[in-house]
Amino acid sequence: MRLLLVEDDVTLGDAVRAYLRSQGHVVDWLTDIKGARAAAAGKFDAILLDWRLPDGSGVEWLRELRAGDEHRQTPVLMLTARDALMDRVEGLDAGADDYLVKPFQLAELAARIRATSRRVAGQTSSTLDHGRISLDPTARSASVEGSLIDLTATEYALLEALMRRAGRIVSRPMLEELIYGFEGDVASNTVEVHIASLRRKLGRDVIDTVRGMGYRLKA
Amino acid sequence: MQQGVGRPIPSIRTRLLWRTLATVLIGAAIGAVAAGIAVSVVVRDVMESALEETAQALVVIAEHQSDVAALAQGRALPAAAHDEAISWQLRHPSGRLIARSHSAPETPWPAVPLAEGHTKTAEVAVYSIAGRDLWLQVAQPLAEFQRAQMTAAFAAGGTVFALGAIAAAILGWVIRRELRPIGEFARTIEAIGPETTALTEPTLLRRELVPSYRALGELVQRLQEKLRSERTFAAHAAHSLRTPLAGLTAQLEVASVTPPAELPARLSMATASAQRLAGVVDALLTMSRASDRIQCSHFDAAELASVATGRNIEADATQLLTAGILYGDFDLLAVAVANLVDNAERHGAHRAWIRATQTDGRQCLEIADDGPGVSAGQLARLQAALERLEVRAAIDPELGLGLTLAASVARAHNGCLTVESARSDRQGFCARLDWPNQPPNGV
Repeated sequence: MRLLLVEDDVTLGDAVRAYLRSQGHVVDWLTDIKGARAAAAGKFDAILLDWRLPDGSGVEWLRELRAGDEHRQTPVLMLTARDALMDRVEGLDAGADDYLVKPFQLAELAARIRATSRRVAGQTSSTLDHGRISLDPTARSASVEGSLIDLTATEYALLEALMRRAGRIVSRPMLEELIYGFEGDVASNTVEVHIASLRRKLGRDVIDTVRGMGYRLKA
Repeated sequence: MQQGVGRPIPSIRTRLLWRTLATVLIGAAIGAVAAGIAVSVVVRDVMESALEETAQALVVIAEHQSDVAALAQGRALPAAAHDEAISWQLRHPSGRLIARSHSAPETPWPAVPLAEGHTKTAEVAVYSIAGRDLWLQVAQPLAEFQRAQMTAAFAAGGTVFALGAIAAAILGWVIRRELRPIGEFARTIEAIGPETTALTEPTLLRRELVPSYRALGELVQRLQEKLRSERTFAAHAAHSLRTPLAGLTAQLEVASVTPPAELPARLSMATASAQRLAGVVDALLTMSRASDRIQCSHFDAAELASVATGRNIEADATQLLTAGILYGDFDLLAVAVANLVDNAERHGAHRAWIRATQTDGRQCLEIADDGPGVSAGQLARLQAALERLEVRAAIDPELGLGLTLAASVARAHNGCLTVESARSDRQGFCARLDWPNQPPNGV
């Protein structure tokens, strides 16, 4: 998943980013609302948002996000030290999908991100299923007709992005951003190389190429 | 107080009620006795007077009825049998009985001399009066006297006592009714809890209780403000402790699965978090001490220069080296400066300037930075929150731990903390701690 992390504490932000990356997510980390506002022009699967930021309130920005069109449906998880009941209520009422009080276990954070994404996507199962393919975000594994497939971290991230938007086109730049999160430099044919590898492992007819637009998991 | 709780003494109402009733009833009893005695004396006088008047009237008749002696011949005058309350004897000056009423004795009353005036024997009260060649003695049994006196005395005393008892009952009812507002007041106090924000005054408030209700209402408001302030402080403390703690635990969690090559960097960040945590604990302890007694002394402003070193911000404290001698609690002021510099670093400043000045008996420590600053609206909110803290010691959620701490230190020095933009283009942030160059009261 591609995640936007807005946290001004450098030590915490660095650890959260490192952990979530190790879980196969692509994390864009920003330390203030000004930066987050600019970054939010892009697509994110979930937003992790601190309440108290140097240039304003995270909750106020969340209200802005929910009022706009771009991130009305994007799952938002508040990460905050404010543990009072009224704070939780205010955060959730402002549009947060979940509320995690600091300090927290990173494993719990990852689980809540998965749960929130499932809930927002209307899923009841913890796995993503599409045709013969099944993807388990918790175990970070994929299987075809019950047989486990050996995927690299980049391949897994690409497959997850396609499965979360099954039937819809996922743009090439977005896939490039995902790959950038893992590999840094992205050559012009990197996406094609990874898609070709996925086709070899999953089957030739699983992923469609939509010329000039991107890729789509076959319905 | 403990004694009162363990062994309750009677209420004011009960004591007042019983004491008033007892006083009224004792007074009524004394009044009844006095009235009884007075009435008894009066009745005796009236009866004696009646005896005397009867004698005076009868003696005139006897003088003009010369045939009475012949008719009676020492016996009772004929009359139908009846009860006599008053009897009489008509006697010759020699003492011989001439005539008598039918219930009078056949012999002269013993021990009653023929001398004008009242005489009492063991059985009768007699009034003797001299007429022409005769004496008339009119008598009434003493038992009649006593019965009449007792009846009148009991009637008067009983009436007085009954009136006293009725008055006591009415007084008791009035006392209970008039003391009811005190009971309501007590119940109002009893109902005060942590969530009480204002007192509900009774619709009919007695004038004497108005100051008490007002004082209690103000006390409740002050307590609520204090409670809010403490809750806000606790929230500040929780926030300030939780974030570095979260950073520390998260770094250690990541470090446990990090390749050895990356471990030093992770541990370094964890150490930074632990140091920040220690700083927050120091700040909280300092804040707690700032609300207590402070220890002022003279110190060289240059000593504060070392406070801001070792941070990821360039702190320029060269002006302090020539600022001279300041007066205050060095430890508190040092922690305030350190927290303000930390604030500058956390809010994106790269450089901070620490300056000290002294003018007109006042001292000023100024921490300015080159950060992005705050908007005019936020600056106004911060200033209002600082004023609230200065006037009422009310900790405001608007202020972070650093500003709250610096303002608390300023308050402990009888001074104040003000904030403004460091530059005219609203960029940068400047906090100014100003306090008198005199020992604060009580120090």
